[in-house]
Amino acid sequence: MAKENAQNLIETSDYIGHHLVNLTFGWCEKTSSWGFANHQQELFKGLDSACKVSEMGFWSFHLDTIFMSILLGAVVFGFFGLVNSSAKRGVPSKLQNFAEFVHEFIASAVNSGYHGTSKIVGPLAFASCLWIISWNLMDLLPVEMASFFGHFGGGFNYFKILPTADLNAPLALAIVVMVLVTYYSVKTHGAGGFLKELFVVPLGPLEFISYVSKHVALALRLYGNLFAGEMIFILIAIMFGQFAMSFSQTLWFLPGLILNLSWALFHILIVALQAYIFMMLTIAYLNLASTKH
Amino acid sequence: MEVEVGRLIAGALLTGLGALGAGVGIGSLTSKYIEAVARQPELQGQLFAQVLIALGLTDALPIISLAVGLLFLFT
Repeated sequence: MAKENAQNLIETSDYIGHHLVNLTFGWCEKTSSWGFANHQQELFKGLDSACKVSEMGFWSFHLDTIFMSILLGAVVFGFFGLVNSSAKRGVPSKLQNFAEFVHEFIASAVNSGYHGTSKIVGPLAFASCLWIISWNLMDLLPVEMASFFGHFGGGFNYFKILPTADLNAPLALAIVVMVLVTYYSVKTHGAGGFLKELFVVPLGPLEFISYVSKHVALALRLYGNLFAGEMIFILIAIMFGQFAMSFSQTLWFLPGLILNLSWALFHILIVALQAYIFMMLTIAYLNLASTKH
Repeated sequence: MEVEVGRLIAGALLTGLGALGAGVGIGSLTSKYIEAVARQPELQGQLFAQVLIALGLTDALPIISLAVGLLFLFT
């Protein structure tokens, strides 16, 4: 029994390890060529490089995150673009009502939170909130779906469908927010005023540390919530998934179903809440940056 | 072997102690919220939005420590 358990333990860490690796395409020192990390896919035969993910240094891209975020952006903003272009003066269609409701909700949040003059904050809040919601909803899809379609579709062994569970994506959003906040605070306080405020304020570098940490926290909060949520889905899949494989214990998937369903329902709150918080904080930071204090 | 044991202990500590902070923070947050709503029930809607944001903020650091703990444990 112990050996069998040990065998299971090894499988679980492999299983988890398998689900935490992104599809990486990068520069490989050994063969000094571009390619996918080894054994990550069989579709593009020529592009399989001998390097492991860890051997690819700075120049390695997580194609699954990039692909999924672009796809989700196209879907969400395509939908709103379509509804916008087909909007009619008369009786609004159901889609139009829904789009107006969403727009009204976000516009009220922006108007109450932001009192500056810039015209970019509205669309920025709208885009970031909806984009992150669409990203996070990917977490509710079953754990095995990505690798199932990967194998089935053409041999992608590693594909993480949740962009937010890859630190690069939330960090990219936070960097954009940081650049905008810097731009607006320099615009309202002037470069001298901005730097003075950061360093010369009586407590010295404390202001600078809080300035950097609030943007890093913005990204890490989103990443942490979704990564923990995804990890718990994986753990539930492990607890009951491997028993269900053996025909003798097929009823084991029932507790797994209940647990997975309850966590997914709770996770819907986390998905919406984190997107809302990211938007509200972006608005608050931009408002802080553009009011003269 | 020590590194392996150390990694697991670190992961467990990170996951556990983070929850401590979250529990205390959210507990006091919701108690104040219920007090405020009891005093002025008509503010429920507006206060609830504030509580949601504050909930997300107090959750930030414990969840980050949970994520790092899980990273320690499983990768």
